[in-house]
Amino acid sequence: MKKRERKIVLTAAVMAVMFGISPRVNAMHIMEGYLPATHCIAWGILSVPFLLAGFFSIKRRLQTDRRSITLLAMAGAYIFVISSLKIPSVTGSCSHMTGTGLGAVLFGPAVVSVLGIIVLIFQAILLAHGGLTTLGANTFSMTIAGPVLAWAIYRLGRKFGISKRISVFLSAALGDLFTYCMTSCQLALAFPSREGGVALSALKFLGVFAPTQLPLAVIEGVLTVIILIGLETYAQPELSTLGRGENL
Amino acid sequence: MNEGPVLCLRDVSFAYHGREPALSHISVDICRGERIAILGENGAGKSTFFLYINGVLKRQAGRIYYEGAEITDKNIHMLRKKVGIIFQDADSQMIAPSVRAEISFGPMNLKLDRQEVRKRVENAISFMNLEGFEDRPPHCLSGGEKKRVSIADIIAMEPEIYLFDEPTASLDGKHAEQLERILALLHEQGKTLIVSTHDIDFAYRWADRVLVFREGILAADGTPFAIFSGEKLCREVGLKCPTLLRIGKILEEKGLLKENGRAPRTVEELETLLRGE
Amino acid sequence: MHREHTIYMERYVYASGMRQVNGDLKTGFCLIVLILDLALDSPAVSAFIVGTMFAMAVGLCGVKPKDYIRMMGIPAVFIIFSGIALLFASQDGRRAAEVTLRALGAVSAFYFLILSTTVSELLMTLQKCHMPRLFLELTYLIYRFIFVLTDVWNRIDIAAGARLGYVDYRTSLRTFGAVAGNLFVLSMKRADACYDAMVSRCYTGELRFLEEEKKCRPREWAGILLYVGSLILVRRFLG
Repeated sequence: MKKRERKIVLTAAVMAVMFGISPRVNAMHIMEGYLPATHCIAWGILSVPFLLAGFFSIKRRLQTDRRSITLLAMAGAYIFVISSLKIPSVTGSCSHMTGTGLGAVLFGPAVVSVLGIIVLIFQAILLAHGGLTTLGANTFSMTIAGPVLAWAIYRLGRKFGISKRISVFLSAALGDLFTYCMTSCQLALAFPSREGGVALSALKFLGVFAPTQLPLAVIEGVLTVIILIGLETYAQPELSTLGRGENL
Repeated sequence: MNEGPVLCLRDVSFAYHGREPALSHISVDICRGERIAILGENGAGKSTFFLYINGVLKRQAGRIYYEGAEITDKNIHMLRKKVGIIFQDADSQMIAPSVRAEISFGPMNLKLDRQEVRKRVENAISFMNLEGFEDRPPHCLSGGEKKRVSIADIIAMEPEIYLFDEPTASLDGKHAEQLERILALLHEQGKTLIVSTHDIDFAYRWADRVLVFREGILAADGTPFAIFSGEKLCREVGLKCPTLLRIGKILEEKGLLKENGRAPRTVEELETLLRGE
Repeated sequence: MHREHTIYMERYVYASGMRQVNGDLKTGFCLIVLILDLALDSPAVSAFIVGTMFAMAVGLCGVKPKDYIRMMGIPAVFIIFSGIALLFASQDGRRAAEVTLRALGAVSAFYFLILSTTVSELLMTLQKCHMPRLFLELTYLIYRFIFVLTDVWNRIDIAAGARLGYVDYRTSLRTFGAVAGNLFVLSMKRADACYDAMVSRCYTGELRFLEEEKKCRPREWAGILLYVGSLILVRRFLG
């Protein structure tokens, strides 16, 4: 094995052990203060068009049905509560669902982008998870990139006649993975490696987080399916109030 | 106080989206200053009735008049202003960050100026004995305190008609007594009070008039004595006989009631009666 | 569930000695410090912020030192581990240390914000900055509902546990789905009831509460200027 490869494997192994003994492994939030100021601003600007699209979609909906405001707020709170749930992960430490895959399937990516940034804000304020300066970057990876992919995969899956549960599993798991890839890229752009630049750094970050993120994505997929089954069983009428009943 | 009914319903029906009618052909007149108890099983339509006469639910069939003026979609805010509901679950009502802010929610929505809002909030706080609670967040309060805040909230809006949805349901003895005192004070101010309750004894001793709902229709409308004496109705709707009425009947049988006497409605009246004999 | 943690933070805000200070001032101050931590990009500045914020949290907000360390512990551990990850990934030890310190400084400033300012004060400040009203209302309602849902979740969870819902892994998963489904139902009903309660009090589309006007005192302004000045001086002389 070449020296570089050995280093990567060693890094991954060290990380796996480290995260194994750390009190919490968080699902890909970049922590407060981690990114340089320019990057924080750049990711924020990149997120704005998506957020605006989501915002206007919500505004339109509220114009016809003002009552939805409490429903949407509950949906946001629901995503927050789901995401604050601790799940035992493979390495034995605890981790969290992002809840955004579930949100994308239930409410659509436009709404999830706006609800998502609010959930991120409260995760920062109430749970010290993530941060305000990194809000732009986290929003882009967790509430825009991930959910859009999750939603697209779900729709494609249904279109091609793949079973509901498998579609949901794939959409949540792949959405999660996409978020983790995006976050790795964001970190790589901020901390390019001395020899290989951004690309190599991205690979390293991807490698470093893979041991925890891959199993987490699978777990999130499974849990999302379980939640959806629970919703189907108990909450069919409530789901149709949100106008997503026909999707499930 | 005889300018006609303050609230008037004619043949009102209402159904929630895609469901069976919750209210069917309700016609009733409510006069200013009345104390009305609403009885009926769960699901009989009491809460829907409240939401309807408060203007939360939009008109579907039938007409509703406030002080003679017909209420349409255009002036429905008048109902919301003049009729106030104190919900059974005070928690659903609390949305503000502090007690003072919570109580100010109603008056602020009435677009009053800040001085007036402040004055009303302070009045409501002292009326409900909430001094000292102004800056507390509502979710830190006990059940009884939350109830008081939810009542203060409506008082600050100064409506004419107060609707209480099962007010004593989750209150302890002390708070339940407090509530009756508050009802008495509001009555003194000339307000119209409508209370939906499962507490038969309370309805018997407090109300001037009882409305009984069953499966969305108004099954009976009369004085407490008349309603509770009607055995057939009580059986159909599942109403038990109030304790004091039963005692009153026995007293009557035994000839212990005075010549022109009516059956005692409160424990105090019973005591006076028995001691007097 | 981090419910304990959530209530923990909130408790300090309401008991905080900073309650009487103008909300805009507190928010503005913390944001400026946060921005300067990133912009000045100096380990000395970041260390200064970590130390002074700790002192201010204990002195001004009334937080016990032990509690502060415990609260900071959670993000701090993650930041340190991320720093180590960064070390391996970029082979730049100095940079990794700088970033770690910068992150710790930012979290300290952020924590001071959370410990001294209520969420509604924060939103009030954002409203004055002309953020769209709809967005702020949605944020505020989500905030209230988070507590409502957390409460309901805990109750359902305890009830499910009492009926052996978590007795083994498979049952746990099934119970989890059932709890999540029921939570959704209850939350939608609650949302409906909440809206009814708002409309019945003449809500027409704008959440308005009476807020107390808190004046900005000269010594508060002086304090802020002194602090920002110190940050710049530290950068200048300690790099």
